[in-house]
Amino acid sequence: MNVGDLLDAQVLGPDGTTLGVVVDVRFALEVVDEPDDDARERDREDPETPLSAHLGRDAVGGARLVGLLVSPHSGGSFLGYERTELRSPWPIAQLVRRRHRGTFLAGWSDVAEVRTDGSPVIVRLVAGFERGSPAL
Amino acid sequence: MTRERMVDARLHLLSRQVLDADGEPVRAVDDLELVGPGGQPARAGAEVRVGAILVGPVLFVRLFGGAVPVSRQPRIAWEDVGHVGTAIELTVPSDRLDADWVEHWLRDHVVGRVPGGRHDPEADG
Repeated sequence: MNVGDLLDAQVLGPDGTTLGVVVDVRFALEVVDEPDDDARERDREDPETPLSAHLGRDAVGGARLVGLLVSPHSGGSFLGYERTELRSPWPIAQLVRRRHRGTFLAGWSDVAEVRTDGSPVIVRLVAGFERGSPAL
Repeated sequence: MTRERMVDARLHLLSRQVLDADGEPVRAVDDLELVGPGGQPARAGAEVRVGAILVGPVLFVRLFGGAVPVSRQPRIAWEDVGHVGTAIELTVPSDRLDADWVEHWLRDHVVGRVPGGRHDPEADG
């Protein structure tokens, strides 16, 4: 199974009702080596250093699948507005929030079944699934 | 205790540039392969991790439809990823990756046979 299979998949509740489509897939990245504040400060003081040589960079380990972001109204990902506290530019933020109202995070442990044999791919949630906050 | 950072696939990972250990661009992220514990196939509801970054010939698929068989998709193991920021940076040089085999094959069999094709302009300083 790939992330591409899950994106845009149709999400059904335990009773078969349509809940929306998968607009994004959330992972928890393990941070194995975190830079201290001194290293970040040195990077700021030396703007000529290329980004790849910066010291204030974390090293990541495994990426664990946390859950699926399900939007009941719109299939497109909308610039991350629905997941952050960003409020500007105001008209775009309002439009995106309206199209993604009701978006929730379905935990991966609440996913009962993923059927990838048909089109669209179907994701069915378990009975008593929780609607988590989509905020990052 | 190790800290965790939340990232969303579409927002932070897909279509991002992949850089090798020397900062050279490798490919862009086309898809992510999900695996279960011990490399088993991913199962709904069970523990699932990213196994590899898939960098496939997706242009033809996007134009003509269908899907590239998984066995035919070049991949970069997620263990080789060192940093996830504006780009995804690897801890290995690109010569060690299978993902660039088309480029390496063309370099050895086509470009290398063109007169001057083996000249390294960066070596001139």
